[in-house]
Amino acid sequence: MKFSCSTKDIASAVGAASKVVNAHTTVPILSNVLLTAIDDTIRVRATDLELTLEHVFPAQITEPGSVTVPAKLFSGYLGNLPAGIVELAGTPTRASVKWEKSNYDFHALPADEYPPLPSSQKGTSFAIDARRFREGVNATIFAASSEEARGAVLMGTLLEIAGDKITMVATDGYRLAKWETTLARGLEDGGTAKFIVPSRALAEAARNLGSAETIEVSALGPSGNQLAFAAHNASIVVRLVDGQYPNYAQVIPASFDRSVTVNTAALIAGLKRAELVAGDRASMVKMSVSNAQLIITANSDTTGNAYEELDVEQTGDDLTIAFNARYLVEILNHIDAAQIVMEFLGPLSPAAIRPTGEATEVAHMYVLMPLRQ
Amino acid sequence: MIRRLDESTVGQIAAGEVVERPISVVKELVENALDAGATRVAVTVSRGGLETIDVADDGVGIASHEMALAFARHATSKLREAIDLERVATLGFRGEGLASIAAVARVRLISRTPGSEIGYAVDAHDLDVGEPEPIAAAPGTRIIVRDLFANVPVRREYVRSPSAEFTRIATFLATLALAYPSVTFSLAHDGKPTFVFPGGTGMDQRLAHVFGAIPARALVALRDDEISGIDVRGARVRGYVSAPGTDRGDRRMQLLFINGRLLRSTLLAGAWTAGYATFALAHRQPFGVLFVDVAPDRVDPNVHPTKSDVRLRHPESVHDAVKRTIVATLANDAASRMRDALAIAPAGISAYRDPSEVVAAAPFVAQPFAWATDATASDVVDLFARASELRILAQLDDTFVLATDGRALVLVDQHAAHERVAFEAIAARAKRGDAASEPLLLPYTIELDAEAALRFERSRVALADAGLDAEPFGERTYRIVATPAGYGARAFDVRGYIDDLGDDVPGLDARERVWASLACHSVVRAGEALEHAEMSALLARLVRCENPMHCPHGRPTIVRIEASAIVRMFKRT
Ligand SMILES: Nc1ncnc2c1ncn2[C@@H]1O[C@H](COP(=O)(O)OP(=O)(O)OP(=O)(O)O)[C@@H](O)[C@H]1O
Ligand SMILES: [Mg+2]
Repeated sequence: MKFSCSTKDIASAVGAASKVVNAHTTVPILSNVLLTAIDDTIRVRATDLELTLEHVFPAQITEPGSVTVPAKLFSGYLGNLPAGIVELAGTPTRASVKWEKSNYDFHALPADEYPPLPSSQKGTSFAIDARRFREGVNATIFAASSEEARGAVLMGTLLEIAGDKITMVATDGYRLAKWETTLARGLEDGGTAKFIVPSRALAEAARNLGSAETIEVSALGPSGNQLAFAAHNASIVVRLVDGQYPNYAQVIPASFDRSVTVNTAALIAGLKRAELVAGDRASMVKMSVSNAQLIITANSDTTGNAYEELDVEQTGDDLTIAFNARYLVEILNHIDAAQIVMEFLGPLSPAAIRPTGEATEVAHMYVLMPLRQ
Repeated sequence: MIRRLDESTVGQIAAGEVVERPISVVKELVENALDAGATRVAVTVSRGGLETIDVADDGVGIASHEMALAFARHATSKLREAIDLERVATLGFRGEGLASIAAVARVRLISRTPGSEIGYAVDAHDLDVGEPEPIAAAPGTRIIVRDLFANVPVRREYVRSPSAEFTRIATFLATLALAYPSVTFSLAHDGKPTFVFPGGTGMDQRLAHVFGAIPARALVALRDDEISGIDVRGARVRGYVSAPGTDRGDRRMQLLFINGRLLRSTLLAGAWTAGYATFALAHRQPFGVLFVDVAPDRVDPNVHPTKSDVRLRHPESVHDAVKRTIVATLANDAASRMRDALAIAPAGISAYRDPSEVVAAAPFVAQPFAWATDATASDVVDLFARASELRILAQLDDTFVLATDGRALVLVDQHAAHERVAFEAIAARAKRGDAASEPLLLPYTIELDAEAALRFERSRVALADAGLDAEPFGERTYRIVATPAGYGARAFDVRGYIDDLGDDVPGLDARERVWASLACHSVVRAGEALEHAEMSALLARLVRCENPMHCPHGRPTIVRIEASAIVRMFKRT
C-alpha cells in the first residue's frame, strides 16, 4: 500500500481515531488504527469493539491496500508535522512515512487481523440535522448514570423516534433530561423505534460528525443491535445497550401548579455560592418562593450560613423546596437561555426546569427530584 | 457391626439435643455417608428440608438384620468400649444420629451391602421400626427423611423460612466438601440442582463456590511439607489462606476443619490471625480454609451433643503449628511477589534496597520501607496547622493524591480519605436526626438472597437514619425509594453495601458500622481520576475530620515521607 496526502488531513483523522482506542486493551491490535487506501480516499478506522469510528479523507493512491499502526504513537507523530504532504508506504509489518527529508518506520501488525466492520446490512434509518444533534447530545447525556451499579441501561441515552420526531432521554434515576426535535428525515411510514445508545458513543458522534450538514442514522445487523451514525467524512458504529429503558414519561408530572421564571446566570451564581456553604450537607440548598422573590439558603455547622435573594416571576402559591445544588447547577449549565422556568407541584414532587424563548422546533426539559430531610 | 454401647460408655457421651433444624439432619446423614467410605454423596432437599431430605451414598451399606439396630439409641458400629472414646477416628461415635432423626420425623432407610444382590428398605418413626422389605437398590445407603418436626411444634416455630434453611444447608455442604476433595458431592433443592462437585478434580471449583470466584483467586495454598525447619509436633496443617491485602473485616470466612470436622475454634482462629497479623493491617481478618489433622488420640470430639466443638489434648502445639505454617507460607509468598515486583522495577528503585537483603529479611512485609511511615498524631496536627500550605502536586495512579507542605511528601489514599470524610458527615447528621436523603425519580427494586435479606433487615432502621429508604416489596425484595444524599454525583451503591454489611469492624458499634459501610460505598474509589479542585476539596475536608488519620476501617489515610528520608534515598547523607 502506498499513498500521499496532506499532513493536516491524516493528522486530524488519526487524532480523532486514537481517542476511541482503549489505552488499557489487552488485545494488541486494538491499540492500532487501520488505514485503508482505496478509490482515491483513505479510511482511518479505530475500534474498542463496542464503538467503531471511521474517518475518510482524499489522497493520491499509488498502490491500494491496508496497514495498521499504533494509534497513540502515530497520532503523536502526525500531530508534530507542519502542514505539507506526507507519503506513507505500508506492509503487513511496517509503515514507512516520509515527510520532506524525514523518514520514519513504525511497527505494524497485519491488517487482515484487524476486526472487520460490523455488518453493513441496514435496517430502519433516519436523518438529523447535525447541529441539532450536537445540541441534543450536549443537553442530555450528562444526566445519564455514570455507574455500573444501576445497570448499563441507565448509562445509555434513549433515542426514541416516532415518525419525524426524535426524543433523547437520559437519567441516572435521580434527574432526567429530555430533548425533542424534528428530524430532517423521519422513519418510513411514520414508524417508531427505540435505541439505547451508550452515552459515550453519542459524545463521539457529536464530536466527529457534528460539523457536517446532516447525520444519517441507521440500525445495522440482522438483529438491529448496532447503530451507525454517518456523515460525509466520518462514521461511527456502536453496539446498542440491551435492555428495557424505564418508562420515563410516567415520572414527569402531567401538570404543575406553581412556577418561577428566573434569570439563569443569576440563579447559577447564587446556587454556586450557597453550595460552598452547603458542601458538607449533601450540597443541600433550600429555595423559598414568596412575593415574587426566590430566597436561597444553606447552612452547615462547620461552614456557616448562606442567604441569596433573587427577583423572579412567580405564579401559584408560595413554596419551600430543597435541592442538591450540584445537580441543579449542572442542569442549568446545560441550558442555553437567558431565563429559565422552574415548575413545581409541592416540596416532595419532581420539579421541571425548562428554558424560555427556545427555538420552536426544539422542546427541552429537565426533571429533578427535590431532597428530603 | 452395629452394637449397643454399654451403660458406662453411654454415660460418658455428651448428651443433649442433636437435631435442631434441617441442617442438623443433613449433617448427621452426610457424616454417616462419609464414615461409610462413600465416594459419592447426593443430597436432595425440598422446601428447605422441611418436606424431604434425601441423602444417598455409595458406601458400605447396612445389612438388613442391622437396620433396626441402626435406629436404636446408643447403637453404633464405630465404638466398642469406653476406651475407644479416647481415639475416635470417625465422624460418628455416639450412635445417636439416626435415632434422633427418627424421633422428630418419618424416616425411610434403603440400603444394599456390597455382598448382597438386592437391597432392603425399612420405615422408622419414633420408636417404631418396621420390618425390612426387599427392594431393588443400588449398592450403598439412601435415607429419606420426611415431615421433619411435624409432631414437634416447638421446633417448627424455631425454624425459619424454607429458603433460609436451605441457604444454611447449601453453605454447610459446600463448605464440608472442601475437606473431602475426593468425594463427589451434589445438592438439589425443589427439583433444581444447586451444585455438583465431582470428586478428584481439584479444589478450584469448590473454593470458588465457597469464597466467590475472585476472592478464591487470592488464596495461597499452605504447603507445610515444603516448609523446612518447622516442627509441627503431631499436627499437620494444610489449607488455603488469603494473602495480605485481600482480607475482610470479620472472621466469618475463616473456615476450620480438625480431623475432617467443620468447627469453630477461637484458639485456632487466633493462631491464624496472629500468623497473618505480621503481614497485614490491624483489624483486618484473613479468610480461607484450614485443615488441621492430628492423631485421633490428641483430639476429643466428645464435648458437645452436636459435635460442634472439640477439645485438643495439646492445644499450644496445634496453635503453634497453625501460626508457624501460616507465617512461613505467607513469607514465602510475599518474598516471591516482592521478587516479581523488583524484577520489573526500574534500576533506580531496586538499587535503593538490595533485593537479596529484602528477601532475606522475611517477614518484612509489615514495614518494608522504613522511611514511609503512617503519619503520627503530632505530624498530623502539624500538617493540619499548615493545611493551607499543603500544595497538591499530582494524582498518582488514579489512587493517591500527592501533596507537599514544603518539608515532606504527603501521600493521601483518596478512597480511604473520602471514606473518612463521608463517614464523619453521615455520623454527624444521623446523630442529629438530620440526614438528607435523595429520593429517586425512578425507584428500583433489588432482590436479595436469604442471608443478605436477613442482614439487611437487621440494619434497616439504622439505614433509614442515614437516609436510605428501602421499602419491603415482596419476599426478599426491596424497593429503593431514596438514598443517602451528598456524595457528589455518585449514586449510592445499595448492592455493594449489602454485600459488605455482615463484615464486623472492630471498634464500631452497629450504627457506626452501617455508616462506615454507607461511607465506603458512596465515595470515590481507587482508580478514579480526580480533578485538581476535587483533590484540594478532599484534603480540605479531610483535615477538618475528627480522626483524619484512618478510614473507618482502620486503614491509614495519610502517609508522609520526610524530605530527610528522601535525602537518604539519594545517599546524600
Ligand atoms: N450411610 C450409612 N452407611 C452405612 N452405615 C450407616 C450409614 N448411616 C448409619 N450407618 C450405621 O448406622 C449406625 C448408627 O448411625 P448413627 O448416625 O445413628 O450413629 P453413629 O454414626 O454411629 O454415631 P453418631 O450419633 O455420632 O452419628 C452407624 O454406626 C453405622 O453403622
Ligand atoms: Mg452418625
